Amino acid sequence: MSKAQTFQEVILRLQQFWSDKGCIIAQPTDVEVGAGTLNKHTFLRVLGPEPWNVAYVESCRRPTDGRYGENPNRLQHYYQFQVILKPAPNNPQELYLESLRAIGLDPIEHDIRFVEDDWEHPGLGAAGLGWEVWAQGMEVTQFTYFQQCGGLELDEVACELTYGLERLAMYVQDVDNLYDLVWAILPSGQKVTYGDIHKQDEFEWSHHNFTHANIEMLARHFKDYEAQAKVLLEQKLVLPAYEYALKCSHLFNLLDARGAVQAIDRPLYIGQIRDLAKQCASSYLESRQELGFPMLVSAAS
Amino acid sequence: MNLILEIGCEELPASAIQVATEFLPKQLSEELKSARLDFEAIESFGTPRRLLLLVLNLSASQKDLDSEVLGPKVEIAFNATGQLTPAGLGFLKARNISPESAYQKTSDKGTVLAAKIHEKGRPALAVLSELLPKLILQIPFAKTMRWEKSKTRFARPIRWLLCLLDNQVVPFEIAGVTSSNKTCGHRFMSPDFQTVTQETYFDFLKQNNVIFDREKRKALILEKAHELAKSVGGHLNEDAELLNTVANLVEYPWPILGNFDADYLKIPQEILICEMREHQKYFSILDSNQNLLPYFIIVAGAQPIAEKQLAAGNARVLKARFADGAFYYEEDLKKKLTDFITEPPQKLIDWALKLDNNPNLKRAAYLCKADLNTGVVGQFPELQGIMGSIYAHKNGENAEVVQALREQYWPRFSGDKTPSTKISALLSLADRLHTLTYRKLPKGSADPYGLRRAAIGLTRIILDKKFKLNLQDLISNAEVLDFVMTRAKGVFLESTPVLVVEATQTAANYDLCAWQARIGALEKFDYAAVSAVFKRVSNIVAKNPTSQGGTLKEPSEIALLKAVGSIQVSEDFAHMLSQLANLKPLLDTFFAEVMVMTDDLELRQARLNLLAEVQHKAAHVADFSKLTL
Repeated sequence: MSKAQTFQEVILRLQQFWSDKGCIIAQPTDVEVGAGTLNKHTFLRVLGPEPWNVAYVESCRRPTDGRYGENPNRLQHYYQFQVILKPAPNNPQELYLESLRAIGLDPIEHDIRFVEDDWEHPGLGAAGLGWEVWAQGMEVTQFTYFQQCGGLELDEVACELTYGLERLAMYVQDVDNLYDLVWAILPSGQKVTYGDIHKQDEFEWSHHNFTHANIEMLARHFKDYEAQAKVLLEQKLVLPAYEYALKCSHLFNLLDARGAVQAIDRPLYIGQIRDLAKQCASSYLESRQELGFPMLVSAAS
Repeated sequence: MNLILEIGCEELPASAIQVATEFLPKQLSEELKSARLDFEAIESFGTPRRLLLLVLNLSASQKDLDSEVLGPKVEIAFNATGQLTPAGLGFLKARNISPESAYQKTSDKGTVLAAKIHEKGRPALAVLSELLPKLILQIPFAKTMRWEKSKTRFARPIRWLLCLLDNQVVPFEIAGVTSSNKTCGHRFMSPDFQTVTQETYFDFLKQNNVIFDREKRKALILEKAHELAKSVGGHLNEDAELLNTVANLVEYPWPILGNFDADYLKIPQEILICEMREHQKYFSILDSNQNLLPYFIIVAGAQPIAEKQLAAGNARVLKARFADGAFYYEEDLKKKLTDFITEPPQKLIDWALKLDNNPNLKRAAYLCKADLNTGVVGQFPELQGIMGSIYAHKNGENAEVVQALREQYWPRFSGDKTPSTKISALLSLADRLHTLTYRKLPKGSADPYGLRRAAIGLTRIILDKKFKLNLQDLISNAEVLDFVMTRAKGVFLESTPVLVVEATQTAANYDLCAWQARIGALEKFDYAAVSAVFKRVSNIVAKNPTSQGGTLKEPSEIALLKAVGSIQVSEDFAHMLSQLANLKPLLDTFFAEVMVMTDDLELRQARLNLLAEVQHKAAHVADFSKLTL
């Protein structure tokens, strides 16, 4: 396959590839998240017996990784391409390698390797076994067989592929600086770069994350959102509750970037988020059960 | 017959390959023996994608088995007229025994109906098809996973099973995968599945870029890596652990030379080497002064189409890593090491001062954990201690302090060196004492704070540096003290028979160096010749308290008294042992000629007191009663 010429072409080809393989092409969540795993399309849908094949771009925020737009490899906001295959097929590695070829990455040329990495997110009670996939010594994808989520052992093992889009595109386009990535080539021939689109964000958000985010306000909002999530859980409104839990998680990340999380408070914050995540998981599973696992039924018919 | 088993997997972790290739041949050998199948040899090999198990010259079928089976008691098996009852007939019928070949057998349980049965051995193929799937699922991996609906657990998903007994497929199924005579080569270079036979299997692997023997992969990597290092005027920074790791990452290793901008050499080379090793799994190259050269060696997983491009791609990743390392390093340098101390490690400092009231030690203890808060150590935890010493040096700290920071975690693993200076060693000791007394002791095999390692390290430092310390004075908690002494004993047991270690423990009285000295002296001494007589002494003394006694009179006891009196209790255990050896003939004569428990109570007490004196001197070196078998 020819190389994808632009960042957006990488996305378009991956979407086409996984759509052809039977995935629903979903969209990013509109709440700030640190990873595509936190999107309900993954975190909640991997629970229970219902089949679920989905692919989507996720817009991720990691406030502490900000470098004011000066580091050619680090961003406080970046993109993942997330794929969930549930139940896991019997050839996910082959499918994955095929998807790399689809964007123009040859596995031998790029020395693709599966390096042991057991992914774990204690804050979400989530864990799985799998690999970091390396291309020429760089991790470009996290490949995980989900075993546990929200503290619950999974009925069906789901396969999760998380592509780091900027890193992949840097290989496809052979550039050293991610801001030089060509995002799009307009019909006029004009090239729009990643820098054109995101450099100002990185500069401003780095200042926000490290200096200007109001600590007292963040801590207050954390409390408010945590309380709201609990109320919603009591009302069995699990999807809104889960969004408030996500907000808490992002507020914690911001507080962390501001250096406002004392070592002694850290387990406390993480514990609160984990409790919410776990309650959302078990409450979601219950709600699907009450509905009679509708997608299981429609898959069978 | 020969057996080939190949378990085809998605990329296995290095540790899983290790566990499986150790377990499989050992366990299969036992299983075959108990299944009455003879064989000449079993071998096992592993790559990230396949585990191999080979059996040479396996017998075609089980040996026949002759055995005796016992049935119901005769009074139940036969009726009054001597006819077989339904119970008796049932027993014979179930085992296909004719009534004529049955007989009566009397044992302590009474007389029963019995028969000899002859079990014909089954073909190896049938036995293996039951045995192998069980064996495969028994491998004791540290971590396992599920991946399909049968919920079978293995280290990584099993994707194919090749199993040939000579050229017949041994049929079985695991997790939906059925055994066959097909395998595939290298993931990218020869991915197609093909039929193989006993004759073609190994050639197939070779021609399809699979080097199934890890030792061969290692040798290949080393040879090429040395060559590459030499080609740029340096030598390979040898690293056995890294070699193991990379050899277990690929089926067809292909070392390639890359280079980086020499500008980065202004960053401490520890950071650069750590980046290359830990994050990238690259080998580094050093010059003759052990200084880093701006090159690295990647071990690719296939022969690349374009080596230069592959090297350049890896160099780009490394550049990003180095740039990040440089960023953290330069950020750290904007502060002094003391600025990173949020709270002085007071307990550790107290421990250090308890060991030695030395200002440099105190300073080192104050600074030693500061680097845990630096940016570089945050990114590279492996560099703890090293970064502290680099920053301390830049801040103009005393050289002894700088050295102590660098060596505070030594020994880091079994067989590692201990700290080189007294201050370094005391700091390391204080750190371990703090950990051991502050953390909860581990239960079971988990040891999250590394307390076992801490106790072993503590022992090795004390012994290497000959620190005269009484651990009982230092560690007040009896459980912790016991924990440490058990590890110390373990260290001695690595090189000394258990009798000698145990016989000297009490006398050493929580002083590890004194324990070691006693062990050393005793090992060079023929204790077997004297142990019995000293044991006799100790038995008598244990039963009889000392008190005021009368006067000794027999020549043999007076000779013994004189000899015992001349033995000086000292730390020269070799000398004491030779003197104690001299007592042996005197004691023998004493016991032969003198009756200790005489009716003359005053004389009896005098003799008991004499033996108590012998015991006192002997026990200073060892408890001889523990040295007799």
